[in-house]
Amino acid sequence: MIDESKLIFFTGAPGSKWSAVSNMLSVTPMMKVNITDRSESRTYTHPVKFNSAQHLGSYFGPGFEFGQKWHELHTLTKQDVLDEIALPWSDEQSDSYRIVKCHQMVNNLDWIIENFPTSKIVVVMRPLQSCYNGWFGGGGFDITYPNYADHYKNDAIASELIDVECKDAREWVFNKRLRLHVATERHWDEYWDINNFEDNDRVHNCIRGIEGYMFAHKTPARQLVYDTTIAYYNFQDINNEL
Amino acid sequence: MIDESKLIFFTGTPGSKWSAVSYVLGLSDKWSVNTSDRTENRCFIHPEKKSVTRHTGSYFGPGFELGNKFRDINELTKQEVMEEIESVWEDDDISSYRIIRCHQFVYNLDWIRENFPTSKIMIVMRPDYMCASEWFGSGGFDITYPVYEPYYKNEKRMREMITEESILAREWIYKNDIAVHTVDKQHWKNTWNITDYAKDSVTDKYIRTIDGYVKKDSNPISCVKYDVTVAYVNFEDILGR
Repeated sequence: MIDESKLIFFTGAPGSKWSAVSNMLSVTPMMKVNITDRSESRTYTHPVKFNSAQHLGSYFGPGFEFGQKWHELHTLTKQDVLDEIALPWSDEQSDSYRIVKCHQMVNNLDWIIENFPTSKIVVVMRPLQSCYNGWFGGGGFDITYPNYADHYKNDAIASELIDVECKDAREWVFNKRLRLHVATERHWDEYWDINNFEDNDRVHNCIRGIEGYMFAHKTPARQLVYDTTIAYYNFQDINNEL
Repeated sequence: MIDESKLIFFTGTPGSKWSAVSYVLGLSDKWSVNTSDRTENRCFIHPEKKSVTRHTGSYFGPGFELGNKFRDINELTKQEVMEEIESVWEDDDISSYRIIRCHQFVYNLDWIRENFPTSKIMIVMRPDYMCASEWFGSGGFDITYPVYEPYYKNEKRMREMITEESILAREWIYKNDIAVHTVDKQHWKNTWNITDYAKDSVTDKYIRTIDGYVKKDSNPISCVKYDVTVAYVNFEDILGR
């Protein structure tokens, strides 16, 4: 039995660095995150030039392993959604949060609020052009996990869908008057108590990768972009400042 | 006599919406900003199709009315900098803050911090391609105030300078571990206590413009970008942490 209040509906357009943000949330000491959906087959590691950023664990959405109908979430019943969420995690861990990642949830965030009022929502945003550059430049359809070809089909359709997803995200954040947080080292420290990470290569790579600092580049600091922002919904019980 | 602790060294690239940000700062009740540098001849209004935002008040930097040597401010004496600043504001009320705007401060932020340790620094940022698109789309070299042509010269150089200034800003923020904030309506409310304004008032229009909201568009919210960010240095006395 899934505790709805321990669900985090997590969305962001391809290229928004949403996966890296979800990976960061899974290491905060401020909430326990169930990562038993992770497996070797559910892993993709970007090249070293992108700080070896990773796709880890389950992804939901058409063409992905789970949530085939989630681009039309509002046509499903709440039980359909819960049944699908129950699939990937091997250990129930009732005291832990599950980060439910789906690009297309952004089209139905009001439906999620209505049907899962005690759940949390995270929206990761990045300027449209940066998403394009990030996703196509980071591998695009050559990314082997998750598989984008089925739903995003080709460059034109992928660009169009990324555009819609970015717009829907900003519109929703605008209408909900949510606070925006730039995903910097300071953010992870001040809001999520993630610090002293220099000895943890995976976390260090992740934080810097989100900022745009790529270690393999000859001038890494000149690649900084600080263009990934995050909006949190219903996180008051974890951190009232979010 | 200028109170150094009441100086804001304010920088941002062309097209970053830094002028709009500096204007809204003057509306906060958390401090008093000296706006006596705003005169009729120091004003440029962007084409009406865009918004109400304008360039108003003093700008420093090569080619501009003031601070012609501020690109290399590190080669000036502190006294020379103070004298240049002092000449602009008609009202010498020492209790209010002066926002000293200069694109090229970004080349010498360490020097400013070292020589004006009690002053504040603000950096406005936006993705490079958005800055270039905004600046050229809003008039570019046809902007009559301030005058960009003497220093930025042509489109190619302007694009290069926007990129260089943006990189320097972000590098400096990184090296100094400074927090970065998205400048949206919630930021003005939560950080600057700017809440009491009517819909469609000048304040509302400025804030919406920074968000990217285009009222004349058939779907104004779809234009929202949330791509303007800001970093504050030495603002603890006003903003807390």
